[in-house]
Amino acid sequence: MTEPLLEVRDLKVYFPVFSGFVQRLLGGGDARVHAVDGVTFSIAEGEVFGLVGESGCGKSTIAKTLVGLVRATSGRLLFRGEDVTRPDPKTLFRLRERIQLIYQDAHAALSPAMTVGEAIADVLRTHGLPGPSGNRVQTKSEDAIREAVYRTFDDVGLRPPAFYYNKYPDELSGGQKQRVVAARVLALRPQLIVADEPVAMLDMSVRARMLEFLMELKAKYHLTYLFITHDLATAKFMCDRIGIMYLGRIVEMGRASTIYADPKHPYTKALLEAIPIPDPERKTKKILPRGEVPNAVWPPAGCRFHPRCPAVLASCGWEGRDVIALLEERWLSPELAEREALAGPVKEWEADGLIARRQMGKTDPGPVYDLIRRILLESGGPMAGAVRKVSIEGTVVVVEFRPPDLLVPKEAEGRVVECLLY
Amino acid sequence: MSALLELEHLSVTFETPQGPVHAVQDVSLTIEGGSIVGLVGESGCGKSTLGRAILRLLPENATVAGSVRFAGRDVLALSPKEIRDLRGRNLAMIFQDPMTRLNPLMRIRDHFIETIRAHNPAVKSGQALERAKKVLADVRVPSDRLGMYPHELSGGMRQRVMIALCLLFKPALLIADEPTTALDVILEAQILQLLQSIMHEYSMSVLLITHNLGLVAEFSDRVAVMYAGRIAEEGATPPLFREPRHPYTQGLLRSVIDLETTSLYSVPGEPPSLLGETAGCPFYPRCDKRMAVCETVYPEPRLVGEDHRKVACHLY
Repeated sequence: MTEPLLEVRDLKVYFPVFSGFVQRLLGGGDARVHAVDGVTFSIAEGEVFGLVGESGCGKSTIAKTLVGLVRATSGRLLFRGEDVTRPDPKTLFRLRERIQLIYQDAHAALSPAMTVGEAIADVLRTHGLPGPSGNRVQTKSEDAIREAVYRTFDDVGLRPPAFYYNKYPDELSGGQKQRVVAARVLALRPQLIVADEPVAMLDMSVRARMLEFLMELKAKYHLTYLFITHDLATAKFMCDRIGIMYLGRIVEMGRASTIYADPKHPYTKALLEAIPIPDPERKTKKILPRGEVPNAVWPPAGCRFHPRCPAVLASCGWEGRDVIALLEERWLSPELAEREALAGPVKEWEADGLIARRQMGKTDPGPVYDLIRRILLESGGPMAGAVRKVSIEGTVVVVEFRPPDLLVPKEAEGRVVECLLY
Repeated sequence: MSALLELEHLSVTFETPQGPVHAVQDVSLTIEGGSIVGLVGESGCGKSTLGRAILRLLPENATVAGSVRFAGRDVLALSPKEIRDLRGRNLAMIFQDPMTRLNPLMRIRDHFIETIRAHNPAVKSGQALERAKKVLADVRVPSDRLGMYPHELSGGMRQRVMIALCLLFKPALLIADEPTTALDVILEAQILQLLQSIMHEYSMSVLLITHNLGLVAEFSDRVAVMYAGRIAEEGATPPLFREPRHPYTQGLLRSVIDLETTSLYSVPGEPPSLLGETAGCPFYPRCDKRMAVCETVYPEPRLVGEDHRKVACHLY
């Protein structure tokens, strides 16, 4: 096998959360957003690799880390075998000639005060013109630079180039601006293009045009793409291989055709099921995961998807805060809230890792102990199966869970999947 | 079934320094009680302006012509007090981004108290909170969220709170303008399922304004497709998706990228500017079935086929 163009190994990117002085005193000062939390993948030359996930899953953070806009907390990035995890300024300068980023919003990516021709000329003045053997040739000749800009405009279909050179971004349509951004990226003759939601802002009737354009460029310049999107349908069409991300982890990765034909991870299945189908005759009642994506500052224990997963097991990572979520969910029903009022309100419960506890003070803890046991039993399911014990410790009622099973990515039926079911 | 909302020849024109912008032109549309009508179109087609025109929420520089009848009343003729009373009580609206609609300095409870008192100043805050708890339970929001500020809620919870605020007076019609566009796909499906179950519980109609054809196909009973300020095609959802008649609807449906897409299609060209006077069919420059007449004469919508679909195209 040939060396991959890009290799990402166990990448972690954490961002500090700026908390108040009191919070820091109380030990909340080391709170960090686990934006990317141990991600490994590689991209072969000429491939389109897709990172797919919902907002906040870390896909854009990976894009920014690759071009040096964000520093990796740990892990390694290799470009053609060369370590570019923490590039010095000179390496970064050269790296950006080889890895380029296309953003979602072409309008915001262009300076409103610069003609689009100048925007590209500027890049060529800084980085030099592409030389015959992939090298770069610095030039002072403004004519040569203008010639090169014209050629690039011609390449992306902005014709006649001289007509567009002196236009400002707000004189161009959305599609034309996308082409200018592509021209600016291509002026450097990059090898890897990271396209971060390139069509999310475009209307449906013109979206296909941009995708076709990206594929044309790929064929013409032998490009490799990292294609980042929240849209599974677009990813299916564009990508050779995909990685499905959830809360900073890749939960399933493999050939796009394999994963779409037979998704394995419950999250992948949920995502696919949630897509609205433009065919009223195939209306089905969807089974959706409960709740929302949790906060990435304190990601759930075990599998991060476990609190929402429809196929969850007792060993997936149940912990103290899941008890609180269960009570909250139950007490949405007024009858249950009234019948179980003794154990409430929810805010009296406190979660601490695998433990949920309620301080009873002078009240007899016995009835609450009985009630919480009954609630856990009644709600049944995998969560109840994960309880190690319910106990009374002095004046405190305690629910304690068993620690989760070790979760590692595994090979299963032609893809890598991180789920205890496989 | 009776018509709950009737729009007749509704037009909205904005005066701008560049000249008049015809955002909505000659739109006629009927919403029956207890139904979901999808209003679908791309950015700038006038769908949001139409939604706001119904509630008279347009800015000063807008001129409205035609008529809006809601439960038999002429909405455009109501006094400011009467329209304030109608909004919220009978007609409610939710928007794309709930964060910009909730006051960041007010707790959720105060949003409810304020909304209730706006219509009925005599209500005590205790009573108001009891009502708030009831509607919050209907949209599955735990009542302890009442004590929180909007920024403490997740995106899905915020949109649920917005829906709960709309439900306080059991409105007959809810106008939902891109209610899930800011949300991820799973959350989007959750919120729409919720809207669907609530509308039955509250016997409410919904005008769902969206750019997403998939959502319209799944959730609406009828669809109106808007293009350049006009309704190109309108009819019952299943036949319209099975056999779109207007060339724009055909192009739009062909350009949807879904899990079964094997080849890409895009409608050629770009939508027209709505500035100044236009003649003929607005889709004419992009249409692959255009005829000479299309350039000069606007095709009045007419009923076509057995499903009584309204199509604005000279082909029919």
